Amino acid sequence: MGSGNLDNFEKNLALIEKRGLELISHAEDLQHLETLRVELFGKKGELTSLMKQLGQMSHEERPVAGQKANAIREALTKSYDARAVRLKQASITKQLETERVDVSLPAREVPQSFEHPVFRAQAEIISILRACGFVVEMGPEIESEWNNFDSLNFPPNHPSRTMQDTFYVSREEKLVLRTHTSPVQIRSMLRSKPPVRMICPGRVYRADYDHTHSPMFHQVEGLLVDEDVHMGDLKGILQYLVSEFFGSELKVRLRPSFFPFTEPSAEVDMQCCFCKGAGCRVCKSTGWIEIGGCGMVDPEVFKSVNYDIDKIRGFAFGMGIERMAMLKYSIEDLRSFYESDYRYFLQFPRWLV
Amino acid sequence: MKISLSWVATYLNSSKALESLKKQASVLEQRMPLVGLEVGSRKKLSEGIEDVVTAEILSFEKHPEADRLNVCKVKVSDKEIYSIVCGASNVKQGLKVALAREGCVLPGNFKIKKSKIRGVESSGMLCSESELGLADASEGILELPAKTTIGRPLVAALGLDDEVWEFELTPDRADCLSHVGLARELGRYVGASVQLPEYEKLNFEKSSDVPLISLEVQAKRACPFYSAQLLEGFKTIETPQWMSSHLQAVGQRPKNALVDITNYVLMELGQPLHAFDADKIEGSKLIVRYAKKGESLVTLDGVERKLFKEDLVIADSKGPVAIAGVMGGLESAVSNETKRVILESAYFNADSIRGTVQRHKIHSESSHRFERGVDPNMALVGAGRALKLFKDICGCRRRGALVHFQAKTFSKKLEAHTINLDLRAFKKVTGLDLQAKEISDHLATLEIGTESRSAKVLKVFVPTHRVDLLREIDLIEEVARLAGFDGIPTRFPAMLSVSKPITEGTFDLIQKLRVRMLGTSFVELMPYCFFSDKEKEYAPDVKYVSLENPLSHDWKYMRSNLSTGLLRSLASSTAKGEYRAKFFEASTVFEKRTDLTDVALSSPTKESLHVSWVLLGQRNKDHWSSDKSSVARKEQFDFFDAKGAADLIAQSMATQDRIWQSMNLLPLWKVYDDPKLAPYVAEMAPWIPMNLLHPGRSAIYFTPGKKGPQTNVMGFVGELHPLVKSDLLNVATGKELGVAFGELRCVEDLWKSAYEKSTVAKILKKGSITASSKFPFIERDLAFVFEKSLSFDDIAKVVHKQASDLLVSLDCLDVYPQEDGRVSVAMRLLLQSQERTLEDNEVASLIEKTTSALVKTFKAEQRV
Repeated sequence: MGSGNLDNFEKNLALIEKRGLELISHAEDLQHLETLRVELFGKKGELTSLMKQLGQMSHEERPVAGQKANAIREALTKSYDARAVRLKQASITKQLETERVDVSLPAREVPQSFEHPVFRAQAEIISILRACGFVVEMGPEIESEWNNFDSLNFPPNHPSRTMQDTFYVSREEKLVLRTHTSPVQIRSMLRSKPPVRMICPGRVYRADYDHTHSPMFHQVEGLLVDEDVHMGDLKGILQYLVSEFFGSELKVRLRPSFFPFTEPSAEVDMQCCFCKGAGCRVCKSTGWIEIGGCGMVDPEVFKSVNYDIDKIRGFAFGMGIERMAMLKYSIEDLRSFYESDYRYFLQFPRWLV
Repeated sequence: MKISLSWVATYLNSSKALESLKKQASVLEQRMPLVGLEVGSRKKLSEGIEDVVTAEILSFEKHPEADRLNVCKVKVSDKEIYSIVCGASNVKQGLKVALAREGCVLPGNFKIKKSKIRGVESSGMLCSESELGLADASEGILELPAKTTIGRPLVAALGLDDEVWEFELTPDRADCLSHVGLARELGRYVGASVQLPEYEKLNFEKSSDVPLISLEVQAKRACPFYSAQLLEGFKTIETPQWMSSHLQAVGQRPKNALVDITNYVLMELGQPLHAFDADKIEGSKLIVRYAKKGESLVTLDGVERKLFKEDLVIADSKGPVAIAGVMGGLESAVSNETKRVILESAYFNADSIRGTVQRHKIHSESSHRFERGVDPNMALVGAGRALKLFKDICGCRRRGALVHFQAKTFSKKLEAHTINLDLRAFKKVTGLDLQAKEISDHLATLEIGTESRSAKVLKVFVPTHRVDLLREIDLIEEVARLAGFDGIPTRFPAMLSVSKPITEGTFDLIQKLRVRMLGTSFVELMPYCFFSDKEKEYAPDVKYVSLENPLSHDWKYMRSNLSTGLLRSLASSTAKGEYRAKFFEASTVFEKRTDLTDVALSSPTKESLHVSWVLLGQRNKDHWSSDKSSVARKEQFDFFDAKGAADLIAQSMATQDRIWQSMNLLPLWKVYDDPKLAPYVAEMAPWIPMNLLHPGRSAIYFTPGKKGPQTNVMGFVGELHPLVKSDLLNVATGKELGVAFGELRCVEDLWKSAYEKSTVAKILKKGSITASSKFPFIERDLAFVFEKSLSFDDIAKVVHKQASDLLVSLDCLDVYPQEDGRVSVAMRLLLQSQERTLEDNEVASLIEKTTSALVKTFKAEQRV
């Protein structure tokens, strides 16, 4: 074979290169590009078949021709790679466009739980008071009259008993639905010696039903008995509880009142959490809201649990959890707590975070 | 207790008292609660009628267009004469009336405008009592006395320039149940002290007059003092204006002087009195005694009351004429025709009155005071005050001497008693550091005298009206109240170690269960704990705790389970058109004890801790993206959703008590079919509302014990019985609405062992957690056709036995009935070793072994 072979070979190479580059640069998509790759420089492609001619060439011509053919293969591959990148990019761009969604459409529901505001408030109060060193005690809701009244210095037939409209389970057996959580104090003191520092949350009952009274509601009550306790300590604990629970520096004041089981007795007022004491509709322009009752444990109560009234003193306080929850979460209707208005409840998670 | 400020001021020894009270009213309203006297309401009597004036009807004529209307010429002054259309029938010439002129705004925001009424101009309105807010209802326009000066503000003419305060008193402050009592408290703020009104000083000296009435007190303990006076010769029984307006101001309707004077003295001094018509008292003899069996009395309120033998009565020779200290009899009551009056003033023991009040569920101004305690000195003062008023107003006289009885012990009650007040004790209780002088000064403002016994102890003289001050601690409160609680220094109690709580574990367990349920998508509810008759029948075998005085028929019993309340809540959801819900509650239920032989049990009732949950409606909320043709889209909650929650609770409880790990379940129909098990479950867990459960789609949970795998009944899960569904949920029958629910008893008898050690306090040590295997797992799916009677539990047991340790999990992929009545079940086995990569042949032989075991045990047929 003469130098004509080489010429011819180079000519063909040039043709392949020119045509190949042209075709590759115009390939429409990745699939087309792949076809071109196979046609041009695949195992059975044009370039490969041309290179088979190398075997017929002379020793001198062969390296030259081989070199040239490889250079062209490289050029084609490079062009192919570049085109492939561009086409891939175009294709993904197109895909992303077609996959667009209307982000304003409603989301798929993530089912959510809902903690009852009363139990949430209860749990908060308990954790605040636990941090003050109080332990939790619980007790039955069906109580003896002795635990609910007599031991707490309510004389039989006394008008103070009728202050708390009582549900009777059995007059004969002297069983009532407890009207307050105070019987748990009695149970605790009967079980253990002073000092006592306990709280008792729980459900209580009174035969009263209107828009501000429910026959069933919740209270939390605290009792601290020790040798050196006075009303200042009571104020201290109540002030701490209110500040922690409402998360702001609302003042607490004690207002003289009467409960059979405490002497002195007081109502617990706090500065209105809505107007911060300035006066508004909720606090009837007084700037204060009543949140519970308290006092120094009456010696008669200590006598009924056989504590030495000369040695020890104690304070007790109690509050309605529904009321605390209503104030904290701005709930206006007491009865909504006991009804199951799903939609109404579902508003809460927003506020309860 | 309602008071009128101008009335109160009459008992204060300062001429400027009323003026000061009115001036300071707003401040006092804020301050009184701080000494324990809550002001419930405060009202100006003139409120809304300040612009109404007195006027006179000069003449009137029929309205040309309306028969019932009159056109009146009304004169306010010579310069002011109005033409006013009026519909009242009592218009007459010369009548003095209340006129609201144009621009006047009456109570209820009623604005008077000039207007034409059927063509005739009217420039104002003649007012009735109700339009002026002076009465709830009235007929015709208000007729003013003939001597009324016209052209004056109505408020002045009627003496309405007054304020009425309503105090919400605590039951201990009996001394404040009168104008004199509250004058004492209010006087402190205006620098005035109390002066009793004029009264005739009565004495027990023998009179030459022959007593015309006789008295016999049999119940000396309940009635240590009784007095009666016979009055006659009434010249008038018309109540004077000053007395009517005082009584009206505090909400008492004036009747006649005989009644009004007794009411006035009660409101004034707090001493209840009673006036009998002397001519209706048989034998002119009064007997104070207990009622006899079979006696009854029609009281003033018209109610016939059967008397109890513990009721103290006043009787004549025929029988009871009054329930002592509570209410008089209708027959012996005074009326406009009464000629002679027997006036009673007595002291009745509080205990006796309280008993009667409770037994008869009766309440009166009189009993309200006797129940709380009346000043013993007021019985005689009240009698003298009433006598003075009767003489002054009615011009009557007393016939004969004062008839009276006084028990020997009573004279002691008429003196102030003394209590020692230790200043150190005062400080220890209140934290307030007051000097003896300060304490004395505070007490002196309320007529409580003191003298010094030693440097640190005061001797305190408690006047008889302070029936609440009996002990040193009562005085400590009194002084602290007067000094003001605001001065008590705030301190934070030091931390101290206290004995271990006994029942805290119960609280923590409830919290744990709640947190567990709140960790899923359940909504926590708090329905009422009461059952109705109908709800009780869902679990009829329970020995229910019932209420003797329920508020309504729907709230008669204490609940025995939680699910009924949650279903009630579902019903109120569906009633509002909400057909999808997931509710739960973790709380206590109640029942009577069936076994009372154990004397250690302190209560005949039992409270247990339960958790319950209900699911209603569609499992997934409709979404725009879901496949409209897919069946899954409308899938309702069913048994298996409820069962999932039971698994969660069981896991939680297993950390308290291992027994929960071996909780097993039996379908309800199988329980029903077992002649021994059905009654056993009813006896052990009567609280399960069997009547609500679909027998084919419900199950009872058990844990093993002495009686085999079904020893303890833990609870149930299931779907609502189709027959009760439409009734209970108020939805149309046939509406496809899934309702699944469940309930587990977590702790039985919460408080039984509270005195020993808490049953719920024990929390197991955490189990060890094994690391997950590093080696690959292999999945194999198998499908077989089984007889229908087999349960998946049976199949799973065989698979577990064969695959043993290598089986990580066994899932059921698919269950569907074959045409021949058998059931095809597909399952997926997840195999993995902790130690090595499993070989293909090892897995193959295990699958082979399992397959042949299933085929052999159940005559199953493998599907390929």
